[in-house]
Amino acid sequence: MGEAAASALAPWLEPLSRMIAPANIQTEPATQLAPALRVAAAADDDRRRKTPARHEPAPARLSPSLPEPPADGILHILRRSPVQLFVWFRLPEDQAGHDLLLRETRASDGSITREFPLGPRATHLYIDAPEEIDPRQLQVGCCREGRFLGYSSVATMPSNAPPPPGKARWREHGDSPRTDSRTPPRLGPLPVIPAAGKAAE
Amino acid sequence: MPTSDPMGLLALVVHARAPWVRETNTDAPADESPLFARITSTCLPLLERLTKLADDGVPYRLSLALAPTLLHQLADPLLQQRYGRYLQNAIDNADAAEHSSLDTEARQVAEHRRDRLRALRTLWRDRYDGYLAAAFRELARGGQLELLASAATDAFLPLHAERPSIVRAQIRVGIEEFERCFGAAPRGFWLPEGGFYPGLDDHLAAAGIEYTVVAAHGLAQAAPEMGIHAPILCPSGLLAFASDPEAAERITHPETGYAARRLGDPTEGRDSERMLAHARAHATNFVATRAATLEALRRGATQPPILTVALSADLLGLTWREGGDWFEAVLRKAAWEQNSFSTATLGDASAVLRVMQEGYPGDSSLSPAGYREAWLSGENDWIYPYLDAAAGRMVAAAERIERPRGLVLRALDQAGRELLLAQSADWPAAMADPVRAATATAKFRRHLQSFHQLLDGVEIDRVDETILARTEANDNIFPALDYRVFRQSE
Repeated sequence: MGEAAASALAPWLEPLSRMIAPANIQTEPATQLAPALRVAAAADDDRRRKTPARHEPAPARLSPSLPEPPADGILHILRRSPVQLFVWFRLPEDQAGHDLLLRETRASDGSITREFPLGPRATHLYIDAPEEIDPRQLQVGCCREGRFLGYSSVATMPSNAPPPPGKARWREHGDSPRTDSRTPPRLGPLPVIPAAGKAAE
Repeated sequence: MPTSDPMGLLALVVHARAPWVRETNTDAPADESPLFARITSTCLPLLERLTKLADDGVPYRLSLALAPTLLHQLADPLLQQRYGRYLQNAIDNADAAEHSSLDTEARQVAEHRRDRLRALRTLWRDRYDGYLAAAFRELARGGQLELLASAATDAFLPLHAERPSIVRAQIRVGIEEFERCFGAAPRGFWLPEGGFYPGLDDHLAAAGIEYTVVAAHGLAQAAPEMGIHAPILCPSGLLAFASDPEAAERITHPETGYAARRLGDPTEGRDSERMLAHARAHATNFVATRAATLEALRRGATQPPILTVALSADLLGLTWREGGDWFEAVLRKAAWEQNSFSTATLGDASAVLRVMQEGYPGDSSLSPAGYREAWLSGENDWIYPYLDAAAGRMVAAAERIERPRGLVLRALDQAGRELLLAQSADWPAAMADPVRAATATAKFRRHLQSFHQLLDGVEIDRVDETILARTEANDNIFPALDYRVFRQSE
């Protein structure tokens, strides 16, 4: 295979070559590789000859897997709709294995309003939003000998209360700082456009 | 101003988007069809129609939001080249079908399709030189079209409300991209999927945005005196227009809507005359019913009532074959065949307001279910802990690193791009669709993997230049992005 062909193929084969020879592992000689990979390895070898070897340590995490969210015990609440909430959390290993329980309390006096058994290693659940508009709080924990041990942070549930009052009154046009200088949209000079090239036939 | 007529205003707002499909890594073959199909079925025909309407002297007024991911990909030389090949292949296939078919009707369909594709290619290549964003900008300079900005990567903002710096970054980067492409600051902003939550208006207003569109049931939560046919002025100073649900239902109702009969490829010629007649009849019905509504609203009103109708550009050819014909007929009939209302841009509509009703829209979206269900369900909820962790990491890095240089600076900026791309609402929406779920999951994971890989390098001051360069080449959106946009402070 000629040099031009090898060069053309290199970008295709480079990722495969990297899988075989990560940056911090000695590359095998090209002759020991399967024929189809020799081109890539040769191209790689060629680059190495031209580029001074790097001796810095490789980044700590080059694995293609996604790092897990931190087990920080923070309880997150996302509103899905006015009637449903999504609750998620990550607990440290020594707590996650217990029989977990999500407890809802009234913010004003701490009285328990609802409880949701989760079992061990739960990370999320959907719950109905409370119909009442007084503030409620949620916490994940575990019941031991009749006592609730809170493992997660305490999160206040988004209120179902209507938007704040004081609206439905009239305001003269121009009162708002954002509406007092209405000008027709005016498009400025053309910016630099990336070379579009001639469209392919 | 379109008119001094005190009659009502019909503010049509078209929003066009496309997922990020650009892929230079050849070990991960790209499926560019979601972009190319939109160019063929929606963008090019829309440009063609709007230009023709302007040439014919039709005094239409229209607002159009082009999502930054679509804008960037329309202007990208690599994708332009590939689109050229895509069009040529489609023409060749139609040609082959025409020659190989024994059935007269099938041959005619293939012939019609080939001719239409050739006409689109001529339009794309010769008239616009492949650069459609510039063509939309030229149309907007004519004044009949108002362009709206949108969030950087079509992120569904209510699901990022826990992290205001992320919401701000989506808004600001979207506005910067608009300014880069169109050379002017936007006045209006299209919220992806119409997603709104109380407090979002503060971010929009702080970024200089004057108006947006929300769902009618969101606006109705403010109990506005003039109802949903006048915008409300949020405490932040942002004007919120409500998308008319009745108009939307007439178009998209799954059984009775105009678009209910989805007939496939818009370039097919089968029954084209009959379809055109249908489209025109539907347009007549739409204009007549809007006129009747606006006439009724006008009685006793202190200012012109405004009907805002939000339309996905996908309806205008991609998912509704005769949608483009319908839309053109609506604009022609609204201009020439009735005297009850004028079409208006959102800027026009905001300018005619003599009094403002104050209020605060509630949690809402323009999705069929009305809230956040489409982007938060059993199929896609797993992504949010990962997105939150990545957002926390990006914000912390932006806060901590003061004056990076060289590779570290490039890696921080690119990590910002990867995070924004991972936040696109396209991925969770597609994860709920069995056909598209695997691709969407892979895309989501790739962006977040790249993000973490880059920040890993930043944290130990050992950025891998090869990985960085490859990621920059692949995800080359937002060239002016500055990672500090993710800082918590305003």
